[in-house]
Amino acid sequence: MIEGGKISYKQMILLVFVSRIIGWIAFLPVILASPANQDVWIDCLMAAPIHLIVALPVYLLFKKFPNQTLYEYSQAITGKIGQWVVGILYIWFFIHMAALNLSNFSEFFTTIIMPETPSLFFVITLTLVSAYAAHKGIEVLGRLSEFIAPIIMIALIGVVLLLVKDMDLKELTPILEKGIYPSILTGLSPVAQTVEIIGLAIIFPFINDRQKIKKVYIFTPLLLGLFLFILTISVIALLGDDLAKSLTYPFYSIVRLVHVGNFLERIEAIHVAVWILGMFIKTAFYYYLIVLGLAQLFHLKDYKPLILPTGTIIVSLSNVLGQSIVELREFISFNIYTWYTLFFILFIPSLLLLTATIRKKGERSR
Amino acid sequence: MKVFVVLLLFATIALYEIPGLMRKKEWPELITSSVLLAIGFTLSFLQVIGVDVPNPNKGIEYLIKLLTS
Repeated sequence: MIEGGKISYKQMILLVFVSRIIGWIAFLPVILASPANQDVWIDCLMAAPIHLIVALPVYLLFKKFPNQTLYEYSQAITGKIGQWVVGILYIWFFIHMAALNLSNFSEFFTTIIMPETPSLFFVITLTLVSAYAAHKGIEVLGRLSEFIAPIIMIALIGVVLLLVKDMDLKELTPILEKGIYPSILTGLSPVAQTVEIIGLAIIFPFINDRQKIKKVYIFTPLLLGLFLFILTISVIALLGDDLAKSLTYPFYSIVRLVHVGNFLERIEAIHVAVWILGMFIKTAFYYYLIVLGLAQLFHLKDYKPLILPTGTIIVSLSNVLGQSIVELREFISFNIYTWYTLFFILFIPSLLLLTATIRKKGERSR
Repeated sequence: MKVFVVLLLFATIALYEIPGLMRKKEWPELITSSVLLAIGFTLSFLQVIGVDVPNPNKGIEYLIKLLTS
């Protein structure tokens, strides 16, 4: 066993929560998804049910193979060659996601806070601290997220409460301008960004109480959906949908608007602090998924020697990806990114589940 | 100058990782980490000497546009 640590179900939910919400508080890409008008908040309500459907294959696969990670049970289902294909695909996917993540991080800093500093500096420092966290294993990641998630929640809710007096709910009308169907379909957009669904398929076996997996499966989408709803509705009610679409960092822009009395203003430092904390956990989580996958695919005894070499790949790849923010945003747009991630979080797990059912592999679920 | 820094960085990482693995005779670990380090080195070295590394996002975009349109 490469990883001896165990985490509780609460830590698992919060780990996914932190690592997802942090991408949304910077870019909030759901605003750009079609119907792309004031109705996007309905998408956010649809996100939780669609998330449950998309995560179903991963959950059922866990029921069949409660002791194995995704990398291991792909061998039990499809044999040696299948395991190599699936393993290499997912390791590439997580390397790509981690590199995208790092280039988003440096992009945010160089465009908004410290324009003179070279972006490589931010990337390398974040990678080094995340490497340290990944080196300590899943237990430390779980405890870290349990500690940091409340800070992030309080900061976000606090900022939104300070802004309530300026909100104009008339911006949300007319409701359902283009009918209900576009809104239901684009509920897919925030779910497809939830790459952590497949991360869960890898960390599910490390839970300390198997019975609680159902809680992880149900509460993760609810928590994410609630916060996505709060963020989107406050951005749209403050800025209106036209302005929100044209801004690169919508939530950052509304944090700059906070103005209470004559003394409480310019609190965007809170947003930056939260962003660094969350980015740290997110990068460490992806990092951990990569090195664990490599170690399980090559049947190694330990993943620790792989950490620094993997870091060099992520850093150099993020430098390639982050050449221009326009290209980056085109890639993250609904038309490209959704299908790319859905291939990994829905298509491959469904295929594995189907094969496992036909070949009668794994434990029979109750 | 930049080339020198990159070489120094990767030499440091290699010297930090490899002797311990050699001593414990963990050959699979040694091979895997060396291959990863070689990939990382190639990627960063190409960027430092000014070769345009192809952006994988472009390829994925092209593939998806081909499949969905």
